Amino acid sequence: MVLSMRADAIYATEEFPKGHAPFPVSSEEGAEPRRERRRVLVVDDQRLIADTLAEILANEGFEAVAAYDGWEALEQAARFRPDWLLSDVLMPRMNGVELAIAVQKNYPKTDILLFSGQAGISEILEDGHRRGYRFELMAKPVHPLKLVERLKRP
Amino acid sequence: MMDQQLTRKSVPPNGLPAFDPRVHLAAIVDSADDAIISKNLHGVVTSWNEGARKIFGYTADEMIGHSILKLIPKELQHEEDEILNKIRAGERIDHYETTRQKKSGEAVEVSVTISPIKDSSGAVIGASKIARDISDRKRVASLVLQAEKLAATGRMAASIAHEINNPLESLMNIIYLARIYSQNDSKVHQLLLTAEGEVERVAHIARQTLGYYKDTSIPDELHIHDLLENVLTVYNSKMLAAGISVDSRFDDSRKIVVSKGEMLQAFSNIIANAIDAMPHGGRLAVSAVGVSQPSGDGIEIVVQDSGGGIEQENLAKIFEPFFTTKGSLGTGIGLWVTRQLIEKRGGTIDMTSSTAPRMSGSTLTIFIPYALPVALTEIPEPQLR
Repeated sequence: MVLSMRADAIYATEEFPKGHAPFPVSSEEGAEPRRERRRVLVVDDQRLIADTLAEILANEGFEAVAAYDGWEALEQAARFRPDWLLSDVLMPRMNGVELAIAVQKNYPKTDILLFSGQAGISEILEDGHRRGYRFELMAKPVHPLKLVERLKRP
Repeated sequence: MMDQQLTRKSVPPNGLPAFDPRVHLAAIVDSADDAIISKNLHGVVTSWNEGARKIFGYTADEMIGHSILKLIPKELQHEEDEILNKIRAGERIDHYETTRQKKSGEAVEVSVTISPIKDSSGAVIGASKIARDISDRKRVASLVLQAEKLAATGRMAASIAHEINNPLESLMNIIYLARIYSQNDSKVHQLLLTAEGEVERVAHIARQTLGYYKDTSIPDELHIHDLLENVLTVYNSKMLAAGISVDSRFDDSRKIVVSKGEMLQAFSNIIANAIDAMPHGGRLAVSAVGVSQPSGDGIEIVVQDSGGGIEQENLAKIFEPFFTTKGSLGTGIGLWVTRQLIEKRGGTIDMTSSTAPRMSGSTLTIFIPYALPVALTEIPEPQLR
């Protein structure tokens, strides 16, 4: 198991135990280290937002998949190995900061961008700060092209 | 007990001065912190203690023989008739909270107790009035109320933001998708483009007011003048349309560490207000200067408009939530948020304003120290992504 949940914190092991990766790692990755189409994992419990953003990003030349929940996103991340994680912050079961920390520990090459419509998420973010993590955050609503522009920057 | 003592016949013991109950009573009255005043049934002052002098500023000579109306603000003078009517009927007024006026013209919040004074036959001949200065208590109460209002406002903004910003995000995405799937030169394309613009407008207001910007990115070290020029560029077309000329003077060579998003929001609100104050054109002066202060060095930013100005009585409320001078056009959130953002960074913000013809306008002065406030330096260094 990669993750264990205790109280409100997530503990992630630094790496998968040898030979125990839960999903086969794409073989293309080794052969083609610089992919043309950047992969984005879009996570939002509001399905409409996740789906429309994935579609917009696909139209803009990204390879995008949507997840509607933090745990589902972790499963997707293992399979999909995204270049970007684009996640909502306030979600049931696992919040965006917990997800981001887990993704960063397991896939350090994945860049992370959070977006949120709430002013009241400072506690979640501060909890991240205390644990030494800070993530870039955009305020919803954000125009899709602005998001695309940010994801295209290195 | 005091009554007994005062009415007892005094016997001079061993050559000591005679105990005079009137002198004794006068001493007690004069040593009281409260104002103790008596007046006749025409409202003319007949006695005035030291406490009354301290609270109202008038000496006994200035008050005795004069009407008590000297102490009552014009708009409250009707109170005196009501008070005298009650006193004539032999009634007492307990802990009545009202406003009175000092000799200096300054208002003072008082709690007064007024009792009828009767002669030996029981007929009412006047009134005694004890007034306590409760300005401090009122000030504390109003601060508590203010803090509660702020907390409630914050909670409300957060919950509305949740319900509005998410659907707005979906709507923006859907309209955008519909537009790119529509024929480029079709009527539908045009309509969707318009819809997108309108949603963007709502989104802008929602961002500015509800989910007010919490910038958690790492603070930047930047030149304040670059940031101000950025904001001025954004509002350039709006100012051109309104006939507003801009005069900027920047003398801040030293960079400062700030949260760029928060400062952009703060200064956007300030510039937007200045523009709103000058619908028929005018002059906007913006300056940023490095200054030395005993409390520490920093940058002083002054934004001055030549609009109609803000009435003196409104000036004190200008940073309160939901207070606006823009009628239905304002939300009353802008300057409130601005002050929070500036203070969070350890800075200060003040406003002066004049409504005098030809010289009217408002001046906002913001000071941001180079040193970060303690709360911001405590956050651990960010881990590299």
